[in-house]
Amino acid sequence: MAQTEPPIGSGSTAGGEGTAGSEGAAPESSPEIDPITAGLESDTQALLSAHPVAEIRTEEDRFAFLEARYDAGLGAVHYPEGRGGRGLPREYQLVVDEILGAAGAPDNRPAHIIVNLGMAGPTILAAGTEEQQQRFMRQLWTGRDRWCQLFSEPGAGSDLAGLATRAVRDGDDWIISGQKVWTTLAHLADYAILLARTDPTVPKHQGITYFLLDMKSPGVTVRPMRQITGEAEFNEVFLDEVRVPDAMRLGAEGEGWRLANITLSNERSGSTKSPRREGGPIHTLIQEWRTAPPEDRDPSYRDSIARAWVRAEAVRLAGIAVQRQMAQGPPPAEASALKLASAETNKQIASLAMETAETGALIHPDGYAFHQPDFMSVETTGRSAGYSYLRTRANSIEGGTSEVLKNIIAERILRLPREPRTDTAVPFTEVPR
Amino acid sequence: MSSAAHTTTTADSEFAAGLRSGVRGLGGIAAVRDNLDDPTEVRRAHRRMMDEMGLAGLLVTEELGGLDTSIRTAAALGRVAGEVPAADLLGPYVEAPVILGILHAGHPDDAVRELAARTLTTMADGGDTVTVSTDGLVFDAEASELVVVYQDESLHLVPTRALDLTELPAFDPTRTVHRIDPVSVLGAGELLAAGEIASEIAGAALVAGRVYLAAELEGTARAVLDATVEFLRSRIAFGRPLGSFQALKHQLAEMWSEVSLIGPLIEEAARALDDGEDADEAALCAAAALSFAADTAVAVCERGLQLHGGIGYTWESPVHIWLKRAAANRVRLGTPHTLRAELAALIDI
Repeated sequence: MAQTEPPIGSGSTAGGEGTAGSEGAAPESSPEIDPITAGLESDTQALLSAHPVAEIRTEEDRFAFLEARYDAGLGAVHYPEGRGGRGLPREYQLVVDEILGAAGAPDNRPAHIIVNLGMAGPTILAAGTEEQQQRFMRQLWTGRDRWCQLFSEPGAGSDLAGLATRAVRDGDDWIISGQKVWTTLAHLADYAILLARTDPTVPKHQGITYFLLDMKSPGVTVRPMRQITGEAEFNEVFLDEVRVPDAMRLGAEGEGWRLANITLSNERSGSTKSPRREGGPIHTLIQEWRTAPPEDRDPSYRDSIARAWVRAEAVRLAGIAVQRQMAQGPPPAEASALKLASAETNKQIASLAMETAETGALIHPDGYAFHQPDFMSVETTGRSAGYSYLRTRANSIEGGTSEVLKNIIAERILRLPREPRTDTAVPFTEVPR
Repeated sequence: MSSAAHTTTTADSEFAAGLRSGVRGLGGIAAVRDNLDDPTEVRRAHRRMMDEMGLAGLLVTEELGGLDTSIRTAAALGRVAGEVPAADLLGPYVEAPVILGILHAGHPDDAVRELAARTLTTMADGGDTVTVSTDGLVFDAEASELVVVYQDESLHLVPTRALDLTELPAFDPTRTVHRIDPVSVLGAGELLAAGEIASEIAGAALVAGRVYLAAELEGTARAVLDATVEFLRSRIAFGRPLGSFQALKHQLAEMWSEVSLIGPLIEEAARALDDGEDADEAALCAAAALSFAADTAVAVCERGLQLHGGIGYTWESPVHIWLKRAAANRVRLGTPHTLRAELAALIDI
């Protein structure tokens, strides 16, 4: 289930920066400079004066700068005051990002802390106690702490509410046991957001509770999970009677499902970078084709390549339109369609690139050597045809399978009747598993 | 429900809403269906309503009494026109003003500029309807007083009654198609331009026309999709609404997802034209938009017919009207395959 990148195919996430040179929309309300913009501009300049970019040399300097930025309320302006922001509309972030980008200031590397910014942060802000927010948000936003997500299980993927990891109350603690999968970057993570079942006697969606977990706790074991590319972006995480203080419970007992939906709805929002024409799998296809000697360019492929180009362009433009809407408010209906179309398009194009490579596709320069990337990216621009082909197989599974997305489109957008279900109204213990 | 969420300006939406309520007031798709054996009256009523809205002046400059809107606006109208196949908008409201507008703005000959200005002024005033023929065929000729004919690298302005026209049985029953005898064009009207200028102008009209036509196809696809969703929601079989079966739901979701990709391609192509980007970029975007819109619309119509079951194969159901319009529009200004061949050359593949 959902543990990966935003589906738009761009690296930046909620609360992140990295927008220098992007085409994001400026706040529309201000033909002249409004007081809010003016305030952000002068405060950002003040931050830069107090912490000159030229003096930021080490990783520690970078974190110190980011902490100052957070404390000045310039981290993510839509975060609340005292939590790295100012409670402003999200689009004002561009004012800050443009100045910092132009000054060459370091950012919090949003592509490296996707779970922090896109999942854990928004959920802790929505449901965390004062103490929890105070303790976690600053380190979370700067990236000093790295977070991972422990939701999916071997028996609970698309049907996430069927999760079986148990949390049993023991005094002021909870004892948690179970197995999680598809955990991006668990091997590097300091903390996790975790769903566990606290009451199996009620229907499946009602017995789930949301926890924050210190990954260094005794009983937590992380093992890499090797994927078809040979590398391991993901892990399995085993929880063996892990003791978690009740102070690490997020929200009320039984409220986990509602909070999980906050986490997963934020996964898809916030990117402000506009994807470029001919990026992603189409890049590999087109470049190899253009650079091939003319006698190797069999004209029978031409129509399929042009068709692929048009599809890629349609998905790119639809992505920009959806991003623009998400900068203003909740994801539009088109976001689900876009994820579906984008996944299927990537797969088709990567497959075509393998075919047009002809016997070249027998060679796999990336190899299958095992390694664990230190950050997650579904970006395949510049990768070989073979790698793109294999990596894009996951596009229609990660972040919501194409089949689930079709149900979402059919039921929530087209308002078609739901599939009859037998698992939602009975105690979890009575659901066949 | 599945209505479009396009980024349109208020003016675009106003024109589109005006056209939509105008067509509805004339009975909508039901009136078209009920009069399909002889749609002359319906077509005439549509034309009158559109002329009264001032659509002929949409792309005419204010100086000549027009509304001076954009290709974006024309695309917004195209979406509506595709929902209820009616009188042809492409020739009289898009191609003709584009061709005459370029002539008026830049033809070296004073007399031609003057003639173009006069004609545009009359059009904007709701007078003569002027349509365009670029391939020896003319649509809805009986509803036009004048035809701009492009043949043998020359542009002519000819009174319709002076042309030797042969009516052909039309695949799309909502429109008439006539073949023009090329000999009757010569000497019957005014020569507007010849040679390279003429073919460049015809090329510019083609690109604008393609963006408009893509929008019409998008409108048709959305109309069929809406009708199919509605049908599957209400039709009960095996004790359940058909729309609760996942095998059918997933098809509708795929159709909706595909249709939602058409709009952004059209917006980009309209933007390239309205912002005056270089001709190759505009041609590229237009070819991309129309090839995708045409493939998608025809596929959605075909699948929509299938999902309607037997009723979708009847004359009574409107599905075949949309299908015929989509299949006709698919080949009108280049087919998806020939458009992709043009596109391939433009992007060096």
